Amino acid sequence: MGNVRIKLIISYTILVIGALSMILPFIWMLLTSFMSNSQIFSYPPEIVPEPFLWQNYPEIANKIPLFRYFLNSMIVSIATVIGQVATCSMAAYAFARLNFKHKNILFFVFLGTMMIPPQVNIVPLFFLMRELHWIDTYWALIVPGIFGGFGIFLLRQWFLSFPKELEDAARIDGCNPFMTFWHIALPLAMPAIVTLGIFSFITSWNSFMWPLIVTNSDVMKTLPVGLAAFKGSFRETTEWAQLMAASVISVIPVIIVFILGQKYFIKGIMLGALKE
Amino acid sequence: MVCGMMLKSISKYLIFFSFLLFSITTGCNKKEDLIHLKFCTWGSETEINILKPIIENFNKENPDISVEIMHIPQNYFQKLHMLVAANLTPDVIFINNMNLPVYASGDILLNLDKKLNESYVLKEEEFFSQSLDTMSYKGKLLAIPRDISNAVIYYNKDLYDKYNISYPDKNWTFEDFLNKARKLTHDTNNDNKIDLFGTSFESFFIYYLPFAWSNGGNLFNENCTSFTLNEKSACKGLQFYSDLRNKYHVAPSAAEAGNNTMAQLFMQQRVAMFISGRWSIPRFRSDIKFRWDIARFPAGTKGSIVGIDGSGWAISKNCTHPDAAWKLIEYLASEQSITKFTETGLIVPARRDVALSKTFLNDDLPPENADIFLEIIENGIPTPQIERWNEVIDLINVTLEPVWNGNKEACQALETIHDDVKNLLE
Amino acid sequence: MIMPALLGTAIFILIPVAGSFFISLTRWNLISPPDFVGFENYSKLLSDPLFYHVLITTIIYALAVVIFSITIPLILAVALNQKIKGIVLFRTAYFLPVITPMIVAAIVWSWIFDPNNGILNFMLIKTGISTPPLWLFDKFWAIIAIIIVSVWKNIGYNMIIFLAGLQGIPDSLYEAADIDGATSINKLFHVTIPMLTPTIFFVCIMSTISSFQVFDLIYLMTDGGPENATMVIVYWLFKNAFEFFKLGYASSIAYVLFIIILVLTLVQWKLRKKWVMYE
Repeated sequence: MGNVRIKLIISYTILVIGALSMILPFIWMLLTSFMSNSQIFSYPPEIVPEPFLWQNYPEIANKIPLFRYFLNSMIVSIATVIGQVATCSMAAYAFARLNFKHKNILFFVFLGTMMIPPQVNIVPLFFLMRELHWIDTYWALIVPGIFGGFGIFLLRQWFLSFPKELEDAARIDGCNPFMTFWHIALPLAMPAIVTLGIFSFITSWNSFMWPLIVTNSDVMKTLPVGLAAFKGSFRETTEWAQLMAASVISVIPVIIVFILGQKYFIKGIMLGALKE
Repeated sequence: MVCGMMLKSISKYLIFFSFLLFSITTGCNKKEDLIHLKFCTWGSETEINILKPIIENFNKENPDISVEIMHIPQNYFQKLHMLVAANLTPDVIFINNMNLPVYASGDILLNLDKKLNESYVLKEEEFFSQSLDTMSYKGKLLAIPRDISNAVIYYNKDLYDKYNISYPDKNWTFEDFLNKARKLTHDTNNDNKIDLFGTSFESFFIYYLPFAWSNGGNLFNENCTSFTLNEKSACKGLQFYSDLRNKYHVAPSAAEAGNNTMAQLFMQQRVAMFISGRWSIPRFRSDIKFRWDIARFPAGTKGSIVGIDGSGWAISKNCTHPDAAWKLIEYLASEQSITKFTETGLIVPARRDVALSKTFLNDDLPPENADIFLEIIENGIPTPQIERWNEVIDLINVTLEPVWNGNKEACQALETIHDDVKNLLE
Repeated sequence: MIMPALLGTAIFILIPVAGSFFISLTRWNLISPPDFVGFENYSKLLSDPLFYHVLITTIIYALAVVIFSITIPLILAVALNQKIKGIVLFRTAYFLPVITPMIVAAIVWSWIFDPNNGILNFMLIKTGISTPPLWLFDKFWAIIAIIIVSVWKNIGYNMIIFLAGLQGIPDSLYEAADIDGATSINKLFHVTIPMLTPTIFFVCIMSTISSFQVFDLIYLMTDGGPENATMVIVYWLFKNAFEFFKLGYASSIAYVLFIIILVLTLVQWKLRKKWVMYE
């Protein structure tokens, strides 16, 4: 009994220390967002903001159109998530359960799209956007972000790890593949779909290079691009306090998405469905 | 009575209506004649918030022109390149001397010589000729300059006083510089680690080339066809710079500086002298509590010579309204606007009148010797303008890195890339 | 059913990808018209010693990151897959690095690794190591520091994927194991891990692909230094494309990288029948 106790304590300690190291940069970001620019890099380093500048936050809204950037990021990220989930889940199901010509090759094509470094696609993709007249519009920000092999791969693995009984039952009952997908597979895939949603949201939310390239006007910029205005060309000219404050604001929706998503990780839903 | 009143109100309505109609139609006409200009620029949010009112005023004073600012906060030239490639070049482009050659040789920019000659607002004499040179390529003026970048030595007066060292004078040499740096370097708490260094050290070309230039050396030969940094005069200067760190230990090594930038170390009073440009001033003015000033770069065998860089505004050849674009540039480069840019302390203006004004030479705020920024323009060497600047300077920097770390001799290292650079210069 | 994904991918990914391939056959600086040069970029690339240095650096990095990015999150996910109070807090804490902006992570870790004042060396000195490594300023330790930060950032990411995977393991299997008298270690190795193999396979492939494409971290922390010790392929590609504006050369780097990753993925794919269940 004592052994188990000790093991528990050790594992708990490790977990806590690990968790602390995970949180450290985040806490630094939070603390510096309340500091003055001169205090941030003082020597010796100071931890407690003094003076405590609450006003850093409302001030940044005066300096940049924060709300607009936030809104744009929201629109783009949510649309991207919906698009990704919709297209990837269908495709993943097809790859996992259906059989069709060139299935493996096509899957590899999707997989292959992830192997090209995105930096190199920027240029031709930009030209494509120009042809479609999508530059400086939501279309350019949303649509290219929807397609990629990640979601298909993730969901395919998920669908594969399922026992087939339920779907077989549905087929016997006369459901076509799409209906099976919609009524059976999709609900059961909730944890994976939520995972995809979370990642998709984060990737889209934090995306910097592409929105920088594809938006010109202030009114279309997303949050990371807008925040870059606080970054000068040298460290000295960067307005760190404001940058951190704005970063904190930009991180909040992501945390919310994550915490909300956690709810769908409950096993109970799953079990119930299987028992049926 | 009622009729009279009715008549009054009807006529009021009529007047109002016709006025409305009139303004709508003229408004419509105005809209069709409205010239839209896209103006791209870099800059932090502080700089943009100075630019915005200037543009707003321009738009007000020129109701037939509507200027839209395209602010590209990071990766400026990457994005600009893409815009140019996709034929979406903005009309007015903020550009610097190092990137000018690429756009110039791609025939992207309008030649502004004639426009400047014929302008009633801007006159050639109003600008430092050196700064007009930085905005020219192969003899053609391609941009109107806003500012000049050069290097000076910032020094901590309090620390000088503490160790009883005389302030740098106008003619101090490399020797003097080294001696003062040595006297300033201390291990203040006796833990065998130096806590105060005499001088800063950064591997940015703006800071190391002056050591070569002041000894009579240069990056390339006269027409930029050959690499000359490996020649004795130049590489010895660079070796001196490296020795500050590795032989005399008056400058921190990369590991000793660690995560801090030199500017931070200067502000934290861990480095007594700091080689830098004008851009450090706003931060220093607001955050530094000790007394500081600037000194001229120390003199080598051929004098005290630093570089000249600059940024300014160019017009794209694809601009459909070059006259309107020129008007915008005239406005941006006017004394009023340049004064506003200079007020932040961030730039050395390219206009002589603003440079000599109280705005720049401000006596109430440090540095006391702000005129040094202007003195050094006289014999400054403009950064050579070559098309493949980025590649060349990257190769040089990679080659010099082991030198700065004390693992190689400058002259030997630079010898090895002589041919490679020559190839890139073709 | 795959039509929308297929169509979208074809237009927004495959076409640009084909475009990049064409670019790799040219010399182009974006400003002047492209110059067709055939496979010259590729031959230049394969005879460039820097390429091999960069490749080896990237491989070392990828290998280390993949190994640690699978094992640590796996253990964590199993540990955190319980309905203990506060488990959501733990999970959120471990996930925080994923959403921490890279710039913030870069700064804080630069401090942690600071050779003079950083917490890490402070603690190492306390444990008796008198000359701790110079980390980001040392040609050997820099890549190790980068690996540490990368693993730190990815732990939460893969942990979530494993957690989702764990949700898919029916309780009935555990119940059956219990009936057979299995210990927790037995259950871990004979139920959990085997059932998790499709997910592990996924994480393995994804980690390989993404670690070969690491960019942001290098861009923000080391600039490829010191002396090219942390110059990874995609950063080198970026420099060539967007600093030197050698689009053709950069595209050829991308394609060679693509082939390398493709081969690695194919190998892993072929091997999957040997260890991944339900395929």
